[in-house]
Amino acid sequence: MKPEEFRQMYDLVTLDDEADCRILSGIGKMKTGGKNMRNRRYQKKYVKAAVAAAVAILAVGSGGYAASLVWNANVAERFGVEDQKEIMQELSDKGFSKKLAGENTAGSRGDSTGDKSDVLSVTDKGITVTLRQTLADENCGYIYYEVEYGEEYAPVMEGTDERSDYGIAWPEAKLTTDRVLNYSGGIMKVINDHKVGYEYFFSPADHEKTFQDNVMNLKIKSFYMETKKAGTEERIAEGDWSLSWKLSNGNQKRVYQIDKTVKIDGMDIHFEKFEVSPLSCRVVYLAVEDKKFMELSGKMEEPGLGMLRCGKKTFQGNGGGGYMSPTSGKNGKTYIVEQKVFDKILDVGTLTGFYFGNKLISLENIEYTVED
Amino acid sequence: MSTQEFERKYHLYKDLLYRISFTYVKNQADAEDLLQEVFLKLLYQAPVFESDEYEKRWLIRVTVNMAKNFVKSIWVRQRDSLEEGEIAIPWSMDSDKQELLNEVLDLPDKCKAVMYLHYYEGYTCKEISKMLGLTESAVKMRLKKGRSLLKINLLEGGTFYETRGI
Repeated sequence: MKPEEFRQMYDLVTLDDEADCRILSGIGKMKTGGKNMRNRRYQKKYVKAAVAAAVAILAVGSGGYAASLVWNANVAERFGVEDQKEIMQELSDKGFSKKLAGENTAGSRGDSTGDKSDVLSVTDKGITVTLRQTLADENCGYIYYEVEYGEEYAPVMEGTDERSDYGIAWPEAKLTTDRVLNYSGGIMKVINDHKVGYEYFFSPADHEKTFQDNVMNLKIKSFYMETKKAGTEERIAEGDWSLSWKLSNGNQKRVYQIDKTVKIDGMDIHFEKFEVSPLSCRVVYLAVEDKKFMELSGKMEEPGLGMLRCGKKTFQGNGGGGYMSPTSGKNGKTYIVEQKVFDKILDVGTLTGFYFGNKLISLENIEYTVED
Repeated sequence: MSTQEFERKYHLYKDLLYRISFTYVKNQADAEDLLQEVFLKLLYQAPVFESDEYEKRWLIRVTVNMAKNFVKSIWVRQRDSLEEGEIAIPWSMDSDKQELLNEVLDLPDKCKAVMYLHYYEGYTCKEISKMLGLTESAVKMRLKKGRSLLKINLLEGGTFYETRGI
């Protein structure tokens, strides 16, 4: 191929007039105070690695009217189950999901029919932090909390030049438990000018630890806003916003004993087992951690465990997964554990395989057990 | 920034940034979303640049970073509509060009931006290295890899390479 052909091909990749209109109109709406802003500020901590996880099966069972009361609406929408009451109910029944505050209930947005006794909330300096919902399996989890900024604070909305010198607000938050955690998160949703929803995904740094009955702590010491000038931030409040709660987590998982060696890029990788729940998956394999393996890992866009195969469709993990290697294996190889946390709820029953790099590892003819 | 000035910049850079976005995210809708995000960043951060060229480079860098983040981000949506190996190409192209575009979309992410910036926009390795925060040798390695994957014919395109400083 000639370079000229490369250029001619790209000449044809252009935006049409309709797309121009959509984009400019979208920008115009946001400029005039539109409220459908996406995550601008995103904090990442310890992206490095993580865990071994696993968890449960999503056997879609009978639904119930109470399903709409057991998930926060924003969380249900974010995980793609807002119209699937049976799934919400199932995950709540099995302990994977726990809704902690009553208002803004999935399926009945804005009402206040939830169990108020579970509300976890703290107010300081005119800012209220409320934990709304948690999702967790044995080894990974998710929390959603909302922050309400008092009227004395500038509006947090983006794109409000006329009304404020500030951009989006964000808290300096620490999530801890009695073991070392890897976590990442940020703004999930701007609810209104003074209210923002935040989320964190987390997992223990040691893949042999689990979350069974863990006490979790969310501690915020300060809040910031981003000024319009690029790259500048301003601390708007210092105080103590601390919440502690016992984490509810589901334990059910589907375990595939693969025990198969697969050649990938000339390397023999022995897959031991694959564990999966609606929230995460984990693969355990043996490989020689040499230069070639590291090159392969580099090519894979970390971690090696990529998308899942569900029938003919693919299911994308959220990248919050991890990689653990230092366990000694056999024949000079190392046991490696990789985990993927999902950003949508997986219907485990549809799973037919997973991608390791570009290689599809089929699970179709492999027997599995269901563990609680 | 005035509306008029913003629209001027939008029309000046939209195709360039859209091509970069599309190359990473491989579908029109996400590429349009990314483009919108990039221009919102320009609008609200309103950075001041020494020249249009600096502004262009900033926009390219922001687009590449946002596209990369998008592709492997925790926020990436469930790709349930993506059939393996099938990428919808909305433009009218002959089969050779379609095949080439598919090959470009299949390049490793690391190679995509450098290939486009070098072979389409005509930036030198040195310029690309500054723009993307890479070493010059890393840019050369990525070009080499991209060339070999796309089977770009060095002999027939020799002049082009020389003028671009490889």
